[in-house]
Amino acid sequence: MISKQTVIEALSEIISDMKDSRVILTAETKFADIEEWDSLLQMTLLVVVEQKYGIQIPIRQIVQSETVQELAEFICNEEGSK
Amino acid sequence: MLKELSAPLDLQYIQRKRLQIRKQLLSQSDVQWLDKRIAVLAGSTTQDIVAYLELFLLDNGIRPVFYESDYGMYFEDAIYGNATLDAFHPDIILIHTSVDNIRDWPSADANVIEVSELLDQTFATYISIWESLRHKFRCALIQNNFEAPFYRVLGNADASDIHGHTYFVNELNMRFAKYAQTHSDLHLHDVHWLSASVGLDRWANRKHWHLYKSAMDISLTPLYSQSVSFIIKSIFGLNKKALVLDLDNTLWGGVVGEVGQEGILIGAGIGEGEAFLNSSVT
Repeated sequence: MISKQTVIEALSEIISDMKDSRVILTAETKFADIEEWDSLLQMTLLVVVEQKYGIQIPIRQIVQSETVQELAEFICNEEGSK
Repeated sequence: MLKELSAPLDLQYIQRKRLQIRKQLLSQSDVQWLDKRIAVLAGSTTQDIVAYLELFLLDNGIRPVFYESDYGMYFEDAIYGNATLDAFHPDIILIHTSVDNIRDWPSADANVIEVSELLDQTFATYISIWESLRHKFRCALIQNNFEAPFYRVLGNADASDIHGHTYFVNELNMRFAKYAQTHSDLHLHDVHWLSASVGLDRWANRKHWHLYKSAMDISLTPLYSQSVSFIIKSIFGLNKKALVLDLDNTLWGGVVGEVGQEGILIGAGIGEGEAFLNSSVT
């Protein structure tokens, strides 16, 4: 099973690519606190994550995932249930 | 042109690396930029459409600046205008509407006349948009036609029964096409084909509609933007046509120098030969 830390590192890499600048996330990082975070970045993250892990993230989960940890835990659980 | 923005597109790569690609395109020192002003009137979310459209235009030497109307304000902006749009003086206006912007559908008990009147009324709304924009700005207009409805309440009959949404959309699309045939400033963006080409089930992502009011699956937005860029390129005369001729494994199957005249696969009755011929003439 994939570890939460591995997912957090992957999310850091994805968001760094999207922002074209180095972003280091921690479990406690709130997406809304990431510099210049906007709906376009949120939309893109959703699409990239779903495709990378082959999962579907429900609307409720997207709305509820305020922190990196919440999203990472969801991804880990989905990966584990495959 | 960047390999990353040429077919076949790696949509996820483009979405993930958009800013890096943008930086790369803008850093080209040997480009004589064609600066253009593009207004996007929104029936749904346009933020991502504009972001990827910029890439495809920059890749073709067009450096755009954009005006984006507020969400869902395409009609108000076109008919009533606003000072920002007026001052923008667009070279091109993209009217980004979708099947979700059709507000009134035939009721289940509507008769032929009532359905016909509703079609006329819906079409008239778009004519009023185009005429108003033409009158104010005298610029090229790009109008999406409609993708097929995502649900067929009447099953196969949805396409033929006058109450069917599919029938309604097909009729509207035909009117749009006929209007475009006689109005050279209106360029139809064939979303109907584009959505069918990728598959309607993939195109119509209702989660993305409810979350972001995106008319299509967000992962497909670069494809949509590329398609719009094709029209914009043609408006500014930037399309180039090339005729590339080949024979071996193009017009016929096999390499004539290796298998000889008798060995090549050509003509009717030979499946592979027909496939090569067919792909060469279409």
